[in-house]
Amino acid sequence: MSRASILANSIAISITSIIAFLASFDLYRLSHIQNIPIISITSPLIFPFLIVIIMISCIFVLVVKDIKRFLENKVIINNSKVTDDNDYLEDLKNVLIYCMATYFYTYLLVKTNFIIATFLFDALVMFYICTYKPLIKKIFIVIFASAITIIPIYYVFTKVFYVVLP
Amino acid sequence: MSITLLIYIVIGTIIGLVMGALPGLTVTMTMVLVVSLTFGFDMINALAFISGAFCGGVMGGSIASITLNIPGTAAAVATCFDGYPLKKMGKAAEALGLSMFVSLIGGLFGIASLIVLGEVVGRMALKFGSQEYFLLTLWGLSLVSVLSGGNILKGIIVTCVGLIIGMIGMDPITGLVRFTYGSKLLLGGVNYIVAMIGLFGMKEVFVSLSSRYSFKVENGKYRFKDLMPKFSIIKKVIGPILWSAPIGTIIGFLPGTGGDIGALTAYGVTKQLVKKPTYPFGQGAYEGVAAPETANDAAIGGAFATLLSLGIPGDSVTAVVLGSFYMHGLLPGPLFMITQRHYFYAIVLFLLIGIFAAYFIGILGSNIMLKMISLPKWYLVPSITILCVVGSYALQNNIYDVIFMVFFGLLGFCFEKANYPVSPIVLALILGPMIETNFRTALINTGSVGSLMVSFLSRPVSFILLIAVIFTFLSQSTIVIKMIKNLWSFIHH
Repeated sequence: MSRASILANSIAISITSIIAFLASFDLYRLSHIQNIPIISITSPLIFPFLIVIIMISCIFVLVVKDIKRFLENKVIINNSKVTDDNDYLEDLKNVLIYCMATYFYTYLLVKTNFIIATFLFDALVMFYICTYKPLIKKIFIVIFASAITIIPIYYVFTKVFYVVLP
Repeated sequence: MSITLLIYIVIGTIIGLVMGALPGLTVTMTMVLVVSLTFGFDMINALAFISGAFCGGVMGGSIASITLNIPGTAAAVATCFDGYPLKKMGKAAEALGLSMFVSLIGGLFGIASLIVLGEVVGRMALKFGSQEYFLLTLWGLSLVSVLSGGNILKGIIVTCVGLIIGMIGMDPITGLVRFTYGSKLLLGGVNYIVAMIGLFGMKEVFVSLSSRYSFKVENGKYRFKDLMPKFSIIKKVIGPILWSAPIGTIIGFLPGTGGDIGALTAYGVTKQLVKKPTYPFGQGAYEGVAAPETANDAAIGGAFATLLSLGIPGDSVTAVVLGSFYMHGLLPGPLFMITQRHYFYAIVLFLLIGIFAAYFIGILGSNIMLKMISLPKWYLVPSITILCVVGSYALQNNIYDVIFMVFFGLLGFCFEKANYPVSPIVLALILGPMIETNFRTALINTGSVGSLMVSFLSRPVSFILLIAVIFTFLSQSTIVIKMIKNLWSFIHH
């Protein structure tokens, strides 16, 4: 069990716990503030309640199992590959940056138009990922590749598939 | 059957073949992106396009398996075992030709089964009540969460996540607003197409961002005549074809299981039954290519039978197909075979043409596809992102859908990195309203939880389904597996 997998598992457990907490909170709010009974055959909350209970139970068992496994493998974990760990954090950082870039692209789509926003996004991402050298060649390839991607996408979506683009 | 429909099927097939062949782009992702192209189509054109893409995607998966040892789709995993060793022996063309030919045979068997099963199950489904529907959907979800690989608890947790996300918005029976936290955006619920694009499309983008591998196809040029099926090879694999086709169809027919499980099962059975393979299994046995590829395509017919006659998707791919059917106003289910029978036969015809188109285009265009497999990551990643963004935006011309889509992509990435299966979320999202409505209707009709349990036991179909659900979970228990093994060895001795 590497530290990277513990980190990945912790993130996933945190996400599922937050979802379970939010769902439980809403069920509590609906049952106490709006006076809707949870345990009643006609209640609209009975099914979500059962699902939340199953989910919380499974999360609990999983956490207990993971902690047990963690304690059993403590020595191995301490000596585990730190590179794995760094790789995972690096991946997560890249993905979050990419998420931000995509959200920025969405913002640009609203503020400008499809062709400008998409060209900027496409070219920047390609430039970021592409490893070609020298720089001039890289810039030329990226601009060319962006142009040959966007024009067909725009044409196919708007003229063939009748999709209204921003 | 007009020429326009034929063109739609062929274009869909080409897109499916190319995307199915690209490593990392699953059939589900292909279908999600293809569905987003059909928003402006008439229903019949959309059906033709989607059916073609489905057939192409399933067949295309084997190309990367054989040439790169990287399955283009989950269902093509088993093809790697013997396909890639054959390539290393210099027999890639034979392996590709064989895989495409047996895919055609498997697909045809699946469609023939679809015609028979669709009718029979459609008639049976008319007698189903809420209890049967609830247990059937529960069985489907159980199979998906248990068989998705990895930890069973993780499977159940993500299924619950999918069900909770599916409950956002108005309750299907009373109209009570749940899990919206006062947000008007969430009132209408989360659009499952948006969630699918995020979980399968955007997630793959994130995963490939973190992948440190790039692909290069060596000696990737094959002559047309080398890709044609060779009688001497076909003769050797007739047995595996004969048993793999029904295995694939039956597994595809079960709710919750699809071509991937069908292919692995057929491979396992073939390994057990064929005592003298052409080469040892795992080292280039033709039987090891023929069995999973036949089953994989035969599963299409089985999966469509469940989808059209019961309205229950078999796996994540058919879940996307079901979502697209809903979007175009087609309502699969027990009444589908009575009220919209002509669409059933239209789909059968489209699948039939799609399978033939996939075979011939696969053979004629294999060299081009091999070139496309080598497309660099820096080009593919932003291009797929743009398709995901445009696909989710075009659904309702709503920019918030794009934000949700990226969120789901991130969710899928975090889950995948922790070995949580993602497909149960989508299936739960689609089946959520159905399972909840049927559970609550059954509960209200019977009057109490005790009476509901009694009704499960007293109705024959319910009883069988209940046993199936219990067995699905028990079969994963180590104690039960040990007991079965002991019993088996006792009988054997």
